[in-house]
Amino acid sequence: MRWLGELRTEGKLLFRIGREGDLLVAEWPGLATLKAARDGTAIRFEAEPGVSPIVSEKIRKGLAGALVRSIHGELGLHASAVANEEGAFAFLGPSGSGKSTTAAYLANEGDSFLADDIAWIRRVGVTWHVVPTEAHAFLDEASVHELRVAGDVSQDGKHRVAQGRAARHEMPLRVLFVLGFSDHHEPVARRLRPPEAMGYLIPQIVRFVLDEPAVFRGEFEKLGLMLENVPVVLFLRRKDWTTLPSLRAWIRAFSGEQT
Amino acid sequence: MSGKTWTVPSHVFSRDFEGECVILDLVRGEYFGLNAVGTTVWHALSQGETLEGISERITKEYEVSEEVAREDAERVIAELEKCGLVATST
Repeated sequence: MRWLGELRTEGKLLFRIGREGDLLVAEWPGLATLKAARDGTAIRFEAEPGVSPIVSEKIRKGLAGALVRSIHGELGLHASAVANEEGAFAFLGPSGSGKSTTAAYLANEGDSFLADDIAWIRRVGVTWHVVPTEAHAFLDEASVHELRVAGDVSQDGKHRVAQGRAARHEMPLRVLFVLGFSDHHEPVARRLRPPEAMGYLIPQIVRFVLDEPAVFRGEFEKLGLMLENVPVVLFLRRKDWTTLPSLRAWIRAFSGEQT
Repeated sequence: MSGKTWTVPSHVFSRDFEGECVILDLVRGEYFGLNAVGTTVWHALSQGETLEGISERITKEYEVSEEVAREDAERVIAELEKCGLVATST
């Protein structure tokens, strides 16, 4: 077994990817393992005994699904996403930047829910569509309280909240928002130049094949093509619930510009 | 650097976005962004220009003195070499 990449939080191993001969292997230690042949066949997802169905289903439908699709050249980004009548809006950002909460908030306000933390983005001619992948938001205690929603509690303490307005069809991606916090009183939105946007997007690509330069090049080219058609906006706000409606206003403004 | 030229290793790939270049090191999985001057240097250097040729391009495109252009070119090239994105060819 050769491990090629891993994700740790506060020293704790959360996830790793590697190779075992021709097999691609992804492991969520203590939770689940995904194995697939390099050609995308022989896919096998196994949850560890005792893992709650909520957790295993989230992994299977979210990151595991995206990893498998990435073998076939599909683009997945660590992002949440919603859609309104103008199209889809995706939200990227580091852990804790409010991706899930933002999507759940917008779905509460009437948008359709497309993804909680893995957005599947598919090229359709010159446009890029977000395909619905998840029908639940995974929210922390504070978000559940503020949004006044309820759901089952999973092993990691997150609340699984069903989204009544889960999207059924893929929607054209209008804007990618990069979320972050700032100390400024008023939220700030700034369209990123494509080279800047690349810096935010490349680390968010879902990648199962880490050791083949040609695959990385393909992903880079795909992002480059997407940036020719999809604006990326850095949205910074105070870490305060009252700033969420302003994001909705910005989305309206940007979707108006795009149509 | 006089007379010296550079080559871009096969594992290094670049793409322009509205006049600015993003370079990807496919082996290390790292990416680098260049500003407009850096992009001019990158294109000239990729086409086999010497330091003199690269400086001349900067002088013409940005209307700066030869001295400033040469300093800019040397600074960018040194950074690219340090990051392993170019190699000396002669």
